[in-house]
Amino acid sequence: MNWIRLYIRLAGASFRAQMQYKFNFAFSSLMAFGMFGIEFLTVGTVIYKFGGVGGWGVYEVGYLFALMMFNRALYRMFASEINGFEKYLVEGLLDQLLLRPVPVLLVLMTRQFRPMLGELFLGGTILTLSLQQLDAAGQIVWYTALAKSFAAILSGAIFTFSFGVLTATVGFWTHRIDDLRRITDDATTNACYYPLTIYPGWMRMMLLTVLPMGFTSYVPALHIIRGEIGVWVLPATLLFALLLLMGALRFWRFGIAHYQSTGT
Amino acid sequence: MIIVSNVSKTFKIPIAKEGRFKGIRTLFSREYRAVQAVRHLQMRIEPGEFVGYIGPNGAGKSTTIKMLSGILHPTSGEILIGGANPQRQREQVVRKLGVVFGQRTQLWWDLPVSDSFDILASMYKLDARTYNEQMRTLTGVLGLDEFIDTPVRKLSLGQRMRGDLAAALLHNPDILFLDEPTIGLDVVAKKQIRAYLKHLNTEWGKTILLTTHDIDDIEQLCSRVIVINHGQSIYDGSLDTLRDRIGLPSIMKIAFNGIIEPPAEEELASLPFTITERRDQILTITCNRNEVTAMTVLRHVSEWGDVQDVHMEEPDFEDVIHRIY
Repeated sequence: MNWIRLYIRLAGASFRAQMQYKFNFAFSSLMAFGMFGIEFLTVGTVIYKFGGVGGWGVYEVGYLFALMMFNRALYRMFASEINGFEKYLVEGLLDQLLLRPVPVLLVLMTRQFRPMLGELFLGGTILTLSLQQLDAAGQIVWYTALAKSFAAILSGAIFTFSFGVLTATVGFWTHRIDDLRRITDDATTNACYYPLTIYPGWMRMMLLTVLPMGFTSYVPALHIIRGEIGVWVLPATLLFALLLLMGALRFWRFGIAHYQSTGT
Repeated sequence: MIIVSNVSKTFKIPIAKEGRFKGIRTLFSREYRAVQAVRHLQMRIEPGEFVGYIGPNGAGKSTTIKMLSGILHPTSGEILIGGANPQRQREQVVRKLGVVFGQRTQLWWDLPVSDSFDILASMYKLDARTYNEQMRTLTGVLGLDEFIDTPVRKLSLGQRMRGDLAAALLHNPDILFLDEPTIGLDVVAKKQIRAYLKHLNTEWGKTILLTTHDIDDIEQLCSRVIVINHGQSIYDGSLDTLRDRIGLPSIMKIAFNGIIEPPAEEELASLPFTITERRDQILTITCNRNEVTAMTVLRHVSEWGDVQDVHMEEPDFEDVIHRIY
């Protein structure tokens, strides 16, 4: 409970600091909305023209896109500095976090707290649109699907966060992580905007085992909008996400003893 | 009490690859360069001591401070601060520590100074009464009034340092680690900071470990000096004893009018000083003023020709330490 209060306090301070540059804040929210909006429109148009991709209709792909948008928004909202952890290693910024009687990860998570309005708004719009259309087509009942989507987004965000922490921890040995992050985060996220059925078998396997980002959108969607697997997949995914999180936190605690800081 | 027993720290630095995918290739590379920053360090600091920790750049000063404050883990050996290990019991130990890194502020850059204090107070779980009392005391001593509502990025360096000191003292720690707190300050600000530090030690009984490149800091503040070079502690004692050991090395540059006729080699060797360079009309002489006065040197030299000008230099204290050890 104390930690939550502290989190709100620190995140609030970080937000106030950013509000010193209001224009920049508004601009970057708008840019995120525009950037991902255009990306979705392009992809959506292509899929619409071809009447679907990998056996999935345009609103089904839209649903995947919306889930990924929420994952990304939540992850970046609460852990943007885990994503940008390289500078803490290279510039030795972790020093001052280690000086406080608070878990390092908690303080790190409060830095650069951004409400990610652009992503959330876009994700919300596309989710609404997709669920509405799929409901109209008689494929789902929108309110149960919406409730299940929240569960999927929760486990998806935990997955993404755990991956972020694992990747960041590798940096304690290598100092540079941006290239690795491009694979574990950017590449897998991009891949999971689409149904995994479009990929060759080995790649689908990889996204479900070694880099199991497939569990953030594709696997829950199989149940929620396609009904191909049972509802058990939702708690199973959440359990998997929590196990991964525990592993990631352990690895983090081990890794931090190898932090090297920087010279002056 | 701070006990450092046989502490060493070796950094393993991966050799960075060049070219395409350098990040990934470095990641999977097993090539390391080992750099030994601190070797077999022994230290024992009693409560209330004011210790100066000096040595040239790269000697291992900051590494030591970072190990003492739990940021870095020693490769071998152990550190105990008030009986606890700063690595294993980090959150417990840092409560008792105040740390200032002169090169980098710990305040929230874009927010008013007072906001930083509010945040720190909640991090250290200070109750409102303790916090207000502590703020009052610190404001009085460090003169925070004049800039408490200013964003940190707009502070002068001297003000920022006072802010950083206050931030390090907010939770009333017994021990302070100060890494170059006077770096970059002008003479007035330096004097001011020194006065504060003196006050903290003598009035409030804080144990202070201070690293600096400014020998005046040491002279005016520290009852004890520890010298480190190449990661090893090479001196631990009073500044006076260190002075006696080093002596007062000086360099004299003596310019002559006309010809110089120094005596023969044998006679030169018996003189209490040495000629290190002879260029045109200028002789460079090094001597130790503990053994010979400048006047004696001049008396000798004036017999060799017509002395036109004399210039004396005292080398940088650190420079001397570097050369002697």
